[in-house]
Amino acid sequence: MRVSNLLKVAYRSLNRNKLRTFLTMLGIIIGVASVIAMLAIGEGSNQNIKASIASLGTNTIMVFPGSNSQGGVRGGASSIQTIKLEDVDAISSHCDLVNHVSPVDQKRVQVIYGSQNWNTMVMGVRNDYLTIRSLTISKGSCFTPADDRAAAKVCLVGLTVVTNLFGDENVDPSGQIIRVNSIPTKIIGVLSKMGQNTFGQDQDDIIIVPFSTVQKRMMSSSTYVNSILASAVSEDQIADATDEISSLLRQNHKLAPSDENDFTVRTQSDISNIFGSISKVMTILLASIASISLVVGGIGIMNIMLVSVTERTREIGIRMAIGAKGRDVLIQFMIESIVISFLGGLIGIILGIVVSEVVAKFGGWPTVITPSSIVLSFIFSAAIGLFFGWYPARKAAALNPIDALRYE
Amino acid sequence: MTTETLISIKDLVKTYRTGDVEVHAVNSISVNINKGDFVAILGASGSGKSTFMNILGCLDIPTSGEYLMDGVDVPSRGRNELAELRNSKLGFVFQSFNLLARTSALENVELPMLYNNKMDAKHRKVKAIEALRSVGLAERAHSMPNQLSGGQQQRVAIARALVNDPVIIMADEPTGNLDSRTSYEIMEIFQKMNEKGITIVMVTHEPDIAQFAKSNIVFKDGKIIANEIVPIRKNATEELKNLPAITDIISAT
Repeated sequence: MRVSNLLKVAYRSLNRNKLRTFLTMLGIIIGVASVIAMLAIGEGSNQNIKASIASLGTNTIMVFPGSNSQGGVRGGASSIQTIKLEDVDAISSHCDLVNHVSPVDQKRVQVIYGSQNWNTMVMGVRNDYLTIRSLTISKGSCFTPADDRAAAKVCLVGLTVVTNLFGDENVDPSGQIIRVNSIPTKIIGVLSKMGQNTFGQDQDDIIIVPFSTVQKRMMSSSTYVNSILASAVSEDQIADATDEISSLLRQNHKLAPSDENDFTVRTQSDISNIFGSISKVMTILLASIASISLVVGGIGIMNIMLVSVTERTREIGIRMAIGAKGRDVLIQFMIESIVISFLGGLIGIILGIVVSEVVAKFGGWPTVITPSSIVLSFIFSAAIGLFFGWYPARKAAALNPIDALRYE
Repeated sequence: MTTETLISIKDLVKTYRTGDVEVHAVNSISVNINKGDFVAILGASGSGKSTFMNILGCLDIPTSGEYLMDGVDVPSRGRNELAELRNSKLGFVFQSFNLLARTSALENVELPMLYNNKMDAKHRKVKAIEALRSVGLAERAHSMPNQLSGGQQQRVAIARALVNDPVIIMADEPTGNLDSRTSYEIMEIFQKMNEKGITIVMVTHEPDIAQFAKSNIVFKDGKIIANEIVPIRKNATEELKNLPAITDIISAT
């Protein structure tokens, strides 16, 4: 029989039991829709995490001191101090792929203003740090390289610090003197609000001070640097920039080729990759749970097709008596189940997109529908139609025409 | 008149096995049916006539014996080849009409041609209407089976049996569900078809219907006990004239 006739026969038989066809289809619709919605939610959160990591700067490179090892006892990360200010200057002047670099010293300190006091993080950095981290000043102004050279007692404060010392984040504390680690320091600017980072830390609970001020006035060690923050010229060149820094530091630290690095270079892409893989696992988990409903929908198709074959035993007998071969009957029933899963798949895709949009709009959860998720779930639903339609169709095709004709 | 053998059956046996018991539904039958014959098969229930019809209609395969139909050795054929044989050489008429429900008369008649890939849609429709016209139902082509009377449904079934130009029509108690007037109408169609050269094999348990055939074969316990020419053959057209019209019956009461 020709395909057009087969489709007509399938349409007629499905149309005859509209409610039943719809309910059968519903299994596939819900299955496909949930797979698409789950993949969209998973992909959305994946991109959300990536974006928030990217907000830290995707082309940033961090250099930490290495670990020491004495008599077989190994210290933890950054357990020795190996990075000096000269390293920062060397990176700044010799690494072509690095466009910004700043030493970073950080320390928890008690800050006091009048009768208020607050424990916060003080960071000693150069101007480049603000550029790398994309920090901006909302009130007042930034310190200058000259302030750094002079170890000027000036600072920039985050909004959380302002709130805790001045009672209200709207107060402009510029010009006020606060005591940072007992050192009177003048506030010259307030940092723009940054909110929480991906890990829930309050990024506004911070005081930024010129590097040499921290190094010379607030830290006990004077020559070593806690860490270095640098940025590559572009995201693509992070790996090359990392190599460049590594080889420069090895040279400066006079390490023999057999020695391990006495420092660690990390990039944001490492972190971003870790979170990407976590969210991928979550996505696969969600999608596989959703695909269970698709399989259940397939079982629904099989169930209804078996009922349909039994109901139409006599019709099958008539068709066989007048010349239908087993194959004709097989194809006729296969087409019915394929039509159900195909239409169900199409409607499911539309429903899945709608659900994703609704989740994005009212749930405040970002969703991203990828073409591959649509293709995947559609192929999956069509395959389910084939798989679960095959057995009933096979059963119909194997009927003995005499018994089928006699069936009441 | 030259007689050409269409069906040649020799020592045909069909055995059913139920547990340990073997039942010879058809027990060593030999019979020839010629082209242009109109054979009525008679017999009580369980006499083996239905089994014989199923084998004759290529729906079943004999346990042993020879069966040649129009030169084709039927028992050696596979399932698909039998289906092709049924489609191209046979036409079936059943007691319970067996039309597809919710499918118009026209589409029911087109059905055998759908399983015969040689024909395009346009040609199919023309042939189907032609077949319906030959049974006098051209104007009911778009009616559904449930809108037709029993006699009309049976006529659609006959049109369906005719549409692929079969060499034999197999009719299994075609008048079993019909009143006598309608039965005669069906017999009239059969006799006309037979005059045009179509061979008809008909199972019936009504002796008066068997009188419309050219010859009668009587079955008993899986064997043919009689195979004889009908001495005084009835003509359906004449019989219909002699039947009292329904209006007469009503006016008589």
